[in-house]
Amino acid sequence: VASRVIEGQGLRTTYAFAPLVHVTTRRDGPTSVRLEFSSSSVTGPGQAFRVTILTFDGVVAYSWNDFEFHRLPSNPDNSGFELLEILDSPIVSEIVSTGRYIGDPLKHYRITFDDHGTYDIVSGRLMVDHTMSTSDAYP
Amino acid sequence: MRSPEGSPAADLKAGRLSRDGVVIHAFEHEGALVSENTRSLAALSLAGMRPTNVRMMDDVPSVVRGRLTEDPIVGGPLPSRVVAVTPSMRDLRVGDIISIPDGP
Repeated sequence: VASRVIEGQGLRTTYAFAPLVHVTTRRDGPTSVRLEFSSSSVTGPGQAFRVTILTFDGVVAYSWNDFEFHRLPSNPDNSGFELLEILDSPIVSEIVSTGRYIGDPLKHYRITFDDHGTYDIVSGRLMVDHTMSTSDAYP
Repeated sequence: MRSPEGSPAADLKAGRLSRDGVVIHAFEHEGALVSENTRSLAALSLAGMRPTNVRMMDDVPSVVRGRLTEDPIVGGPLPSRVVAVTPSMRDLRVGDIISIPDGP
């Protein structure tokens, strides 16, 4: 087993085509990546749905690959429509082996959105939040 | 099939898009032929056409096989011969149901 499913409310991508993506950088500071996506269904106009907010702090690498081409930066057999941690990530190993990394233990996270693509994020911290919304801004 | 114009079925019907140009990627699952790009297959079906350009996949990504374990909106267990058309992934109101014809 080279990956594990991160359990929790709203961590599957069944009800989202794609997330809203925000990348935040600060001078001489850490990079953060935030993914927001709808994680519950509606059955009528104007209904509120749950939004899952994944905030990755202390990001050292991230990528997105279009679903169409099935390219992944590593561990091609480990993907699903849910949040995963890649357990034997060569990307983490490579970064740690440089001896330059200082911070929280790095983890390689992966989340795939059907027909949209896969996000791979290597970071020291992950925070999971939820909110409710009726906004059409969420794809 | 991703059409920036947004209506591949209309393009197919009008002849702006060739049926042969629509490649359906497929794989076998428990004796059934399953399409990987179901939207393309649905567009052909909406245009009243059957696929003529089917390519069998040598390597099926685990995430594609994983689709078959998702809960379908309609059509019973997956794979299914019907595709539910909904306003979005989260809005489960079914606006239309597209039937996929037998075989290429």
